[in-house]
Amino acid sequence: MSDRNSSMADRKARALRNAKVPTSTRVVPRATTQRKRRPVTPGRPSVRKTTQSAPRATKTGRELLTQQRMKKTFFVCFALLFVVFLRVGYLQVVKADHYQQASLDQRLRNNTIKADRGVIFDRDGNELALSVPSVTVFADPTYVVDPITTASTLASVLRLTPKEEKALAKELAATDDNFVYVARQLNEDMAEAVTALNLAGIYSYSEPTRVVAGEVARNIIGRTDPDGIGISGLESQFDEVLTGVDGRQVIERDSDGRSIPSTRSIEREPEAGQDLVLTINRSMQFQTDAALLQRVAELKARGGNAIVMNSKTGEIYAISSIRRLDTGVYTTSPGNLSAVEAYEPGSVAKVISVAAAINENRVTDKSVFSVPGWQRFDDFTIRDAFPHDLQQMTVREILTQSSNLGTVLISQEIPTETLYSYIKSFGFGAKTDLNFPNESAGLLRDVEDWRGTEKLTVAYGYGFATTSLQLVAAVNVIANGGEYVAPKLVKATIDGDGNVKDTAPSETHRVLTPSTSSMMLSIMKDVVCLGTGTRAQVELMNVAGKTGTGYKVQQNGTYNTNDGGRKYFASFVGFFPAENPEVTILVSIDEPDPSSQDRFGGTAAAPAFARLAQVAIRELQIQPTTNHDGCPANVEVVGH
Amino acid sequence: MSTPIFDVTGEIYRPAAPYRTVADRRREMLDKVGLIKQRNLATNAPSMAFYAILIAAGVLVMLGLVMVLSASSVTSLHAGDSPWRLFGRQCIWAVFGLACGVVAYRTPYTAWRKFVGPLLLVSYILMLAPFSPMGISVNGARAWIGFGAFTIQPSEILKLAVLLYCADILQRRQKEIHDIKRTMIPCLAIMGFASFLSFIQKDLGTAIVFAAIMIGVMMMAGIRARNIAGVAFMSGLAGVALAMTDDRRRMRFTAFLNLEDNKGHYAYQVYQSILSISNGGVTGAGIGQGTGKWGYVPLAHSDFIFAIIAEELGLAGVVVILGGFLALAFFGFQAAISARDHFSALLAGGITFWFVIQAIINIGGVSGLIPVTGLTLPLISYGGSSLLVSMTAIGLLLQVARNMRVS
Repeated sequence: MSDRNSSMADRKARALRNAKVPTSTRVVPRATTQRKRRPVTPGRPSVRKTTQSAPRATKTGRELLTQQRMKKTFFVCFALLFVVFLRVGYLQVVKADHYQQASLDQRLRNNTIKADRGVIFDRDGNELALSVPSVTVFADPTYVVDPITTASTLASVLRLTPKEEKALAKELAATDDNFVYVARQLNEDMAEAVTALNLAGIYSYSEPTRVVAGEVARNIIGRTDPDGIGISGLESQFDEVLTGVDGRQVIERDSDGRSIPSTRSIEREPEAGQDLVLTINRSMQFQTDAALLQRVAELKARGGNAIVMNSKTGEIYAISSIRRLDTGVYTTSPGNLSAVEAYEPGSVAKVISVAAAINENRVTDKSVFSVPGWQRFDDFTIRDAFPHDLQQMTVREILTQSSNLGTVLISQEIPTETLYSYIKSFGFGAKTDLNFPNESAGLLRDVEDWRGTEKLTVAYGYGFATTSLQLVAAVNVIANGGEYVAPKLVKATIDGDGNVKDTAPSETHRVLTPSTSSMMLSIMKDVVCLGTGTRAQVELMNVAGKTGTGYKVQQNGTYNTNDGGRKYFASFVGFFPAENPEVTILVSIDEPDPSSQDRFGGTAAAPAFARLAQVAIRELQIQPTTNHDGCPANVEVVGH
Repeated sequence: MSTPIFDVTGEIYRPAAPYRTVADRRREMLDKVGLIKQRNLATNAPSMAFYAILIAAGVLVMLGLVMVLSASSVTSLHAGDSPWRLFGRQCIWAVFGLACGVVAYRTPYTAWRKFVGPLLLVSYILMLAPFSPMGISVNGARAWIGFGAFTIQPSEILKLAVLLYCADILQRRQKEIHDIKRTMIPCLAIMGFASFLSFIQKDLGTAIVFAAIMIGVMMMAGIRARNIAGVAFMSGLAGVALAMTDDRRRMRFTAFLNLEDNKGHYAYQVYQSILSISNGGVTGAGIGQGTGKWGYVPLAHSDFIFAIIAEELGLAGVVVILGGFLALAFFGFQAAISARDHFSALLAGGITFWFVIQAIINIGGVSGLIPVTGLTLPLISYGGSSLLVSMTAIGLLLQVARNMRVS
């Protein structure tokens, strides 16, 4: 410590020499310079002198006190740091779970990832109904910072009207709610434009929109609600099959509710629903709609139904319903009216009573009945549609000319109970296996409840009601060699892995013997060749069928409107090729113009049948039979 | 040197020249140009305390920069700026701070002593500047002045100025330390005025730090314990009384007593920061992975940066931060105890105490141990003036540590 007094030269030399030797040697500002620069102020000279003296090797009492106090201060600091450490450790270790949960609660948001709904295909794999991606934008008003600005920004992107904008601003300002739809099911470009705004409190999720391609077969496919739940048609019937299992996504959001980047985690992958393969042929469905629409419009009718069905398997190729709107415009009905609405079938049902009598071996096609022009039963008169005197008619002629009285006479050959059981066996009075949503079972009272004339009228199609679907399946029994085959709409399902699972074949049961069936077929061929259904003839194809013209029951409970007029229900059910039927077609026209000549089954519905038959022949590539004999020499019979 | 020695390759073996450090060479160079006597050079090897303080401060500053980036990027982004903006500024301040630190380290504190008076005066004047139109309010405290893009918090400069001034007079009046009119009263006046200025800036935290530094320095200077206890008691009383005059502060204090029930409003900040700290657990969420900074923890990059560090680095990061301040405390006081003279001892002790007490008040507030007062975490938090002045102070502390007496 003596170097303080040594010369500068000495110190310099020693500093260089001892460069690496640790000593306490140091150049310290000297008291002299200090004194020079800080002039002595009067009043405190002595202090300065003493304090600027060289440090002593031995510590003074005051220095020791300072050191002691510094040590104490250090221990105080140490203790405080330790307390802080304990506090933080307590938060991070002991209370971690408690607060971590609170932290998660405030920033996690569960989002549902909608599972893709199954596609509905036609029989050839064309999409009928499918889900297309879209984005729904919603708001959490509790996180919306400025409702008015937010609403106006959204409005400019979504092109809202000022009124809608005002309504949106009001909804966004309502902080008691935390979910408000801003726009549902936007296309992706639009949605991107909205999400790019990154507005506080505005979120989006992807939500597929259900689209029915070209609206073809909308009547059977039905609808889904905006949440993708089937509410009508097959969408509703097969909702569980089509709906997948929704996935779940967790996002973390910041204090303003915006999602924190890269925190999305998928908790559960969505499982797509199964696809449905229908028996529908998209092209036939489209053409059936068009043809029926045209015919119904021509007839100024209220509506119409058409069903094209595979005679052997019951698979429905096309099923169409047309309705006239209140505005007078004709359009395809959004509902499957063929399955939902029931009417008295009228003359088409004669097929059932005649077939029953033949099958019971009570009559053959050649049995002869004496048919009067009209006959009174108790207080009820039955008359044929065409006036005639007492006439000897074979069973074949009765059906070909669609004689009401003749049919009643034939049916009286068998007990009413037997007729009833045949009617049941043909599929009336019970829903078909389609089990379509809201499907009607028709109306068929138990035989014990048949009253008076009902026992008679049932034979020619009054006193019970059927759906078009029931009717086509019933007549199809003849086409299918006497065996009932239930109609069918769903051919197969395809699961998420692409495995195709065919649905079970349609339920079948025997109704008629093959011989009865072929006899009926030949009679029905005559109906088209000679009888009431000549306008159903198709070039190079033998067609069999039956016309029907029903009177519709009116509000007043009679078959007459209040002004004495009638309302008709004209139908035709037929199948071809007659030698080996492949396709059965029903056409019914609801309330054709009653003043027109084309108000009967043979005139209103049969031409549409011929049209649809041509469509089916072309689409299904049905070969005309080589030994086509056509119809024998035309013996036109006026009737219906 | 009579016989050349050959190595295995047949070359002549040349013994290595004596190893010379950079410091050796610098010394030689200064000697050559004749400047060595003007320089204040220690010739001994730096003490362990010197290295420890250097490393501790370096780690805290660099970790702070990383965490400022992590915490401020969200704030910057949501303000519509580049996520790097606040971090970039902090880096610029760190470079300035490094320069100031080096200057402070190189400039003998005897030279500083000549300017303690003017420095204090200028600092006081600057403290009034926030009330001029240049002043800027942040979070209710009007404690900043703006120079174009940069803002300065004069109270940070005042901290160092007050410390230097008091260390100076306490050293000069060491002999009459028990004469409270000569020692304690002047110190109290300086401290009281600084505290008062901070208080009227509505910056209660800084006012408390002034009081704490002053009490610490007077304590270390050797003023009678009972006097200090009286001063501490009176300032505590004054502080509580002043705090209670303001409704918001009173509500905050009440809320502090029951965080859970007031988490929606008055205790929102602390509750969120507690959530953030807890969320880190032992291992932490990972740098950048924290959630508190996403708008939940207010001032995540400045006053509440500890919450973000605790969340992203977990208890491990907390140990590093607290360990850094503990190292600063230990070696800072070691430097102070072994300081060459009384002034540097008080200066080193004062700086150390300032850092540690401010860190404790900050972390204590952030973790819900004490009420929040609005203070930066020294060397770490975002804030230019704080970083610059802290690094300058570290430079001074290092100078003291470099020139420690070797026992």
